[in-house]
Amino acid sequence: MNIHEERLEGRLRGLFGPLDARAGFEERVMARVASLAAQRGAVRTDLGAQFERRRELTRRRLLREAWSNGITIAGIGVAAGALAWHYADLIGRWLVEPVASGRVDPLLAAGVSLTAVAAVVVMVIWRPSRLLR
Amino acid sequence: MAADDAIVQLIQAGRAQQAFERLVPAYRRRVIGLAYSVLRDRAAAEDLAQEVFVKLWRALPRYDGRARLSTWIYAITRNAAISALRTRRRPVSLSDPAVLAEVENREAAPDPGPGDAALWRQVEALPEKQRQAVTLYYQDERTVDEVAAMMGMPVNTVKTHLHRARASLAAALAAAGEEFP
Repeated sequence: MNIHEERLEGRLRGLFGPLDARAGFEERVMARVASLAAQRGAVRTDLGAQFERRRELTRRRLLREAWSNGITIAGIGVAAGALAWHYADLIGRWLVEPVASGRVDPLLAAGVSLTAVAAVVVMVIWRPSRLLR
Repeated sequence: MAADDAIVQLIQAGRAQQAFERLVPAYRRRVIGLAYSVLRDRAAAEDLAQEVFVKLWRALPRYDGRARLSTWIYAITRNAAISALRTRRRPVSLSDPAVLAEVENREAAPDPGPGDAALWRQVEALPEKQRQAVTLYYQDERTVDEVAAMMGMPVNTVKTHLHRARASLAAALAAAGEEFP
């Protein structure tokens, strides 16, 4: 490095020098961070309250759905019973007699009946829960 | 660096707040220096440094140690400074009373500039990367390796920037009849 380069180096070092923050920089940063931490705590509390409110609303909705499903299934059961009572002769001719006489397998007849009942129950449970949402 | 290792150990132990309390004094000057090298305004650099430390406080629990702590901090600072610079460069209207008031305020109280005004003007006229390298290198007498880490560049690239900057400055000062008569 020649004398001119050394002089330029010296001038550049003098030009920039050490750069630092004004006094109290760290305290200001810590104060901001503390304020943000407090805000974060408040938000967390608020989110907790929101979660509790939603959970209570969901619990009530599920209870409503359970009642609705129960009433619908009971209604369908009563209606089916009334129909069976009303058309007992016809059912006897079409279903019971062939089974009793051995023309239809009793297990098959019972299986078909149970499947039909199960299908109705499943449809009833799914439908009102979707309508209530 | 031993200080960095201690900070990383605290983070990994889940003591991010303690790590942050050590990180701020350890990196204060370097973060401000890097911000200043991009923004060229001391007050803005200090404001930005505050923002950077708040970002670091938020991100510290997620630091996974894959990058070196200093590399990670410099990258966050560089991105924040470049983003702040873009925001400042947006066109503003002097018909806006708030902008006009700010301009008048700046004119009334200019940023205290360095003593060597002629050299300062020449440094300001350098290409951005050269000016940034010169600023970081001569400020706090940093090593080329440290400047390279701060700028996120290879050491040889920084050496080239510094060499070209010095040559440009010497030529400009000689032309002005100042340094090399």
